[in-house]
Amino acid sequence: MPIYEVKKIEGRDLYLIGGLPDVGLVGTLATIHLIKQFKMEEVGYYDSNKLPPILVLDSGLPKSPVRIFSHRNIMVLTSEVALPLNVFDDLANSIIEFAVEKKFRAVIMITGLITRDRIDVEVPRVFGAASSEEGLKLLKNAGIELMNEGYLAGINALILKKAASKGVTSIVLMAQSFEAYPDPGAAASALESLAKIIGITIDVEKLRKEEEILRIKLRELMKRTREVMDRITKIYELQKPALMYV
Amino acid sequence: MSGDIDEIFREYFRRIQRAIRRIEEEIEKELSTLKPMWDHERECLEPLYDIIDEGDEIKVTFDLPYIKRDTLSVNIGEHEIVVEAELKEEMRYTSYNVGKRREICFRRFYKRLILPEDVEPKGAKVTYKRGFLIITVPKKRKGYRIEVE
Repeated sequence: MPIYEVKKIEGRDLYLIGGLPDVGLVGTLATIHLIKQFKMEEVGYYDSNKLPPILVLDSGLPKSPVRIFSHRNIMVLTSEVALPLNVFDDLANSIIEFAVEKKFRAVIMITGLITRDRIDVEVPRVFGAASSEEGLKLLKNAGIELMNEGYLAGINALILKKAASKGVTSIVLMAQSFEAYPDPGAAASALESLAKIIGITIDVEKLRKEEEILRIKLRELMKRTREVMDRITKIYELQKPALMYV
Repeated sequence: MSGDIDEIFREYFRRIQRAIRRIEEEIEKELSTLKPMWDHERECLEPLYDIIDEGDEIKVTFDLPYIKRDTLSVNIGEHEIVVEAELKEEMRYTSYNVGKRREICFRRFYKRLILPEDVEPKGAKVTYKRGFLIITVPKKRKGYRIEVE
């Protein structure tokens, strides 16, 4: 299992919040915000020979670009690089096996939902999907709209599928978002929904206030992520569930 | 009749130009995956952009946040769009090892974008909203009519 602990992860009612680079970098923005706001400490990392040959230097020390941070019962998984397609399956497996081993209360992934007229949407809406009845209950209690139709693609779809098969409670939170531009506003909405699910206070003002600067800073990651997203679109475009057209 | 022949040659010339542009576009696409989105010598950043084919029009969106609105310049040609704008404040990045420099600084956005098809610049509509520059420009009409004698 390629998730390694730097510090022992233990406790009850643990939540794993994941944000990996994809639509609008919503997950990345949301998880970076959580790490900074709660001054989280690094407790683990994911490694694989399928990851790009990139190391993040932190105070002169080499770190994996996919790391887990923690604050009380909240673990946050984030990636600082665009993930190649061939790492998706292994990473999704590792997350779910880790969740089983550590008895996480829930694995909550944050992502963007491509919205064509996003520019006219002042406050993005957030939708949820879950791997189990327990997950649906968490969404319902938090007053989050369910994504009743449509389809999910990419790593979050794999995580939800694998969670369902292993009996892990998993939720995907999807905020209306730009597809190809970093969307801090969408990340702010997603975090507001997350706060309702896990019962904590998250101040998202900074995300909204510094939106323009964040959009500039994350251009490069967005571009690399889009290259991966375009490949997924090309591969799966023709494989959309046939029933959607019936 | 000679006018028709001239028009046929002009059309062939246009087709060759389009083929050259497609090659340029492919090269630019390949290179863009290798090069960074900034040029520290010219102190400029490259914006994210998106091109959508909307039938008779081409819609190009540029992500241009944090700019001085009055410095925004848009130049639309038949084959390309050039966009330029100064940032509200310069952005400094430290701990960068670019040549002998430890710090790099950016003052503006700049992008020269080759369009996938010829357009009619005069018909362009340009708006700037929430940091996004949106350009909708009609495609140049293809084909021509020849009278049959």
